[in-house]
Amino acid sequence: MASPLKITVSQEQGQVPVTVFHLVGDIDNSSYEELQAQAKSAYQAGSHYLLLDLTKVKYMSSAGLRALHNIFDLLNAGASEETQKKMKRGILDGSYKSPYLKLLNPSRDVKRTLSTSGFDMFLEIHTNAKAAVNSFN
Amino acid sequence: MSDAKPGCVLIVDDHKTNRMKMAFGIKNLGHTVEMAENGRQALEILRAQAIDLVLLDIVMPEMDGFQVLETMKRDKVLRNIPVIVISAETEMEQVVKGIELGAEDYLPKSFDPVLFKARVEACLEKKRLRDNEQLYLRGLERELQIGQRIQRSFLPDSLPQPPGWEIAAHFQAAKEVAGDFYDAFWLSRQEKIGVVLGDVCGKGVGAALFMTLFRSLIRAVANLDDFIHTDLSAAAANSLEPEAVVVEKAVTLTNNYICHNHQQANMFSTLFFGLLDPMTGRMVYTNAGQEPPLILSSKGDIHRLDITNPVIGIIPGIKFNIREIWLHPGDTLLAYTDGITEAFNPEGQMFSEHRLEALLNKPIASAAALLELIAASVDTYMGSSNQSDDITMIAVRRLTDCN
Repeated sequence: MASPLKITVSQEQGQVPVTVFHLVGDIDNSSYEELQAQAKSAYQAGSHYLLLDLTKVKYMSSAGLRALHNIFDLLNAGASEETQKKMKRGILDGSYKSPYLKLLNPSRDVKRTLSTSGFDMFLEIHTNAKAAVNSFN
Repeated sequence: MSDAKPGCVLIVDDHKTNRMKMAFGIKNLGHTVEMAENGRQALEILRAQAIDLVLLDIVMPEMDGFQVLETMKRDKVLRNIPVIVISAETEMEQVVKGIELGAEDYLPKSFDPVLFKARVEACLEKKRLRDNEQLYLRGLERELQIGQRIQRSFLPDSLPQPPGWEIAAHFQAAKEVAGDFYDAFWLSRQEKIGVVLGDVCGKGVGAALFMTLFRSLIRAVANLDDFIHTDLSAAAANSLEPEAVVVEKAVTLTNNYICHNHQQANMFSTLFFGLLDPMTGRMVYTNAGQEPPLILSSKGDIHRLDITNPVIGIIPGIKFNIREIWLHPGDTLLAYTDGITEAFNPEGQMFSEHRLEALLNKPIASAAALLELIAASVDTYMGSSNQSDDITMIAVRRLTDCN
């Protein structure tokens, strides 16, 4: 039984300004497009650093992973070709995590989804909100 | 007369003068007319030909207007035809009852031409819209059925059954078309069997389109040496064994192809691809982001395979790790998509690994029976809740000598 996704947005100041999406509900086939759309609006409004607070997300399906991949690409869109190449090499040797998109407090099940799919290879996972915000630079 | 196609209006009234007045009005509006003197005749006409609107008197011999309305509303086809109740100005109670029984509107017997035109045309327009909607829905349904049929043709009709082995699969889409896929096929030049299970992210038409692409690429590239009549195993020289080369090439090329050509779509897939040597029971495999398949031994032990890589279609150039396992007599390999473990019951809880593993403690009668048992248990668990994801499994069982 899916619970609809609610997204509230806050702005935090760390080393750089960070947009935080506080997500409540499931990220699945019925909600992933809304998450993508909100991320796109935030990006177009000037947000370049996005932290997804997953504390209150019980379930994330593969459609949710698709949204993360979409947002990952969106935030990398401005990077130069050289940076993109470096990023791809970095993902392959395990040295790259996105400096633009990070995750906060995924539940055990969501964490498992992230590790089974390999998304934790390029997305940093934080457990402390303040440290997460300050990690963007 | 409006620009729209003329409608066919059935006038039901026991008074000839009223029928004539209404018929005159309807013809003036450019529509065609059918007439009935009572309810019984009206129903006969309604069942025999396509009527777009009924002008229905209430008080009639044999069968009155209310009985006609009740019969129409019980009928799957007739219930969609709008009805205007005809009544005297003093019979408002009858009008109310008619509307309660499902009539769209009413007309006083004075047949004022302005009112008459407005109500008749409004009802016919509604009917036209309803007909168009039905037509559109039927068209969509037909397209989906075609899509479903074509997609099913991307799943194998039959599975290889080498001597001493059983291979069975179960596939249950959550929607008309699915993002899950499975496959098992002979690589004739290698005398090996490819076993595939995958889950494209999301559901529905988008996932289904990509499912056909992933499935075809894996099968085509795995069979490359057959298609182009060269020998991959020879090309591999001595550096890598041929089975590992086949698996690695199939997933690497598929991954790179999707990454380079479809990056914008953000579509990826989990993928288990194993190459089984039925002579020895050895299987080399790669497992890209797929729920780890299980090996069930004849003694009841459960062993999980590794996840060797992230899902395919997101990281170009990734090196796929190849592992090997041995299936001994009595062992069963069970690969399944998350539609099993993430099936929800009406309380919103997931089926989870532990319920799946609890089913696997008993001896297995056959690979097919094992899949039936799991599918039935998941179905019971879901109860009245909707199946939220595709459910797909493939089981490969090595028979014991006495089988």
